[in-house]
Amino acid sequence: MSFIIGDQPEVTGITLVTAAGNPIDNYRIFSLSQFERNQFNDYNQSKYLLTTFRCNPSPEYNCHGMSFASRRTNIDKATVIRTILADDKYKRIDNIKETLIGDIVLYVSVSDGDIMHSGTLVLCEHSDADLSNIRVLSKWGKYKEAIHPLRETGYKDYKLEFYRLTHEHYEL
Amino acid sequence: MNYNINLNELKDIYTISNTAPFLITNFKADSSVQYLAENEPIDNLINEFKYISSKEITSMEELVYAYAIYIAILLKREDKTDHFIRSDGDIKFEWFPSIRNIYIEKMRPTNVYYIDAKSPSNPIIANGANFFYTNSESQEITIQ
Repeated sequence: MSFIIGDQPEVTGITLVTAAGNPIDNYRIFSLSQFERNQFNDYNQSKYLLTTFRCNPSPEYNCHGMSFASRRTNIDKATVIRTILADDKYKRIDNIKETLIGDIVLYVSVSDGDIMHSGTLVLCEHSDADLSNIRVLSKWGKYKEAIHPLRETGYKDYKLEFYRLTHEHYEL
Repeated sequence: MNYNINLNELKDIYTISNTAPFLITNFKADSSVQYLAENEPIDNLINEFKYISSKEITSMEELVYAYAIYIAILLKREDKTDHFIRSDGDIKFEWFPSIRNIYIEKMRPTNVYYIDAKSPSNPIIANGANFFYTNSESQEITIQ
């Protein structure tokens, strides 16, 4: 059976490896079909009151491709992201109060461990109060990039993990 | 589209999906998809999917509808579901292959073995089993 959805986009990956030389499984879609382009206009972004959306929708990279591959491709497997974190020697930041601008946040599904979303912290205001004011720059699927409060996203049922490249393995 | 689904909600999920597990988890949790899975005969769902996939899809609504029907079929977890994913449901587009793999690896009923037809001596054991499936087009082997 054929399954025809408009003009099916070409899908390829780019050569990408971790710091340890392990290949990073990825794929890049070079075109957004016209119907997707039209339909994305219907996305109800107004319900995210404190979020600023930037750029147009793009299929060329997703959130993980933005966080770990310079906006060049899509990465979607949790195992691949865990390999990147280990090989590139990211350090986990356990205390949210110790997060800094530039740290990576992962939104990890509590049910199956899928890393459903990631982004980069662009504002970290910590106080003695329970709440920190943290904002994240991230990409929402094929949709736009967004600057959003940590928990103002379309994602749910997750736990947060924070990571930083500290380069602790280089001795001064 | 013969069935009513929560199109707007499902479109939003599709739009922001970064991974296949996110898409399938949230479609599975949607009440309209669950209703289809629980109340609609699988033959009807398969026929609907075959109808959708036999024509050109030109809108996001149609694509999201196709995903909803596809996932409702997988949620049935019947013998016909296995036959479906090896035939009409073996779709090479976007998230469909990943969703199909998630079904094979995590959603299949617990009494199914999966045998790669290219290396039948090396079965992939899904769970405790009392019958075998192959991924060839023709064989299902029942083991007592």
